[in-house]
Formats: sequence, structure tokens, C-alpha cells
Amino acid sequence: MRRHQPDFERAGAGIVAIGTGNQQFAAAFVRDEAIPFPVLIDDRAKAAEAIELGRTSAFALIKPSVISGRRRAGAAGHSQKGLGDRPMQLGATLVIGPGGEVIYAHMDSDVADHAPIEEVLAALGAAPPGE
Amino acid sequence: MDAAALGEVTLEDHEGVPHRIGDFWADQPVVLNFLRHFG
Repeated sequence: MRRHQPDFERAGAGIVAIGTGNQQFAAAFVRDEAIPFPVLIDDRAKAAEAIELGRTSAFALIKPSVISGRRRAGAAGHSQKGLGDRPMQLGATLVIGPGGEVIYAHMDSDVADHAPIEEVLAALGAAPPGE
Repeated sequence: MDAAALGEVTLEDHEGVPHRIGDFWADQPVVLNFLRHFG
């Protein structure tokens, strides 16, 4: 999502990251990745429970697709800061409009699943990346 | 999905500053990215 922030800004949208780690992990993430948008810490799962985020299994974390994804991220210079207390929690991407309307919701089906950026931009009425 | 409950949640950022999540979509749409981990 970080590299698509200019696309979101052109669409008039903000971006907020919500993670499962602690303040130390979040601060390292912001510093090392030069994150320019708010990064919130859901250490007690209040936000995760509000949207009923899914969970995965320990077996799913050693699937080849997950391991290869981790290697790709590492090769791209991204280092995982820490999982916090809920390593089995899955991710999600929501687009919420003014007034609280949920315009788009992608609940990750496993740890290698992420919202397609084209779908997120389409929910904002923006052109696909690169156009 | 009902964003009302989510909007009432307040979380701290990496500097310990509290934010009410619903405030982020008060004036503009927002992309909320729930991460499994930082990084």
C-alpha cells in the first residue's frame, strides 16, 4: 500500500495502517520504511474484533506460497518487525467513505492473500496504477 | 459490515498518540489496511 499512496491521494483518500504489534515494532516500521501515513497499534484487538477479522492456522504459515512471499519481501528490502501477540490474525483492507459507508472490504483469506490494488483504486473511483 | 463499531475504537499510533478511528473518514474516504505484522 505504501507505494500506492500517491494514487490514493489523487483519489482524495487517506490511508491508515493498523497492526498487531507493539509501539516498538510500529516505530521501527515507520522509521525504516519511511511511512508517511498514520500507523496505529491494535495491541488488544479492539479494531480486529470490531470487523471480525479472520484467523489462520500454524500450518498455513509454512505453505510454500507463504514462504516464497516472505523471501520476495525480504529480497525487496522489507523486514518484518514482529507479529505481536496474535500471529494467526489475518489482514484486511477496507475503504470507508465519509459518513462511515463501507465502500470496499477485502478480508484476506490467508497470509499470502491481499486486496488487489486495482480493486482498491476502483472503489475510490481512481484509475488503475500506472494510468 | 458496519463501520460504526470500528469508528468508535481509539488506538495509539507509533508515538503513543491516541486516534479515534472514525475521525479518519470524517471528511474524506480512507483506506484502512489491517496488517498481520509491521514490515
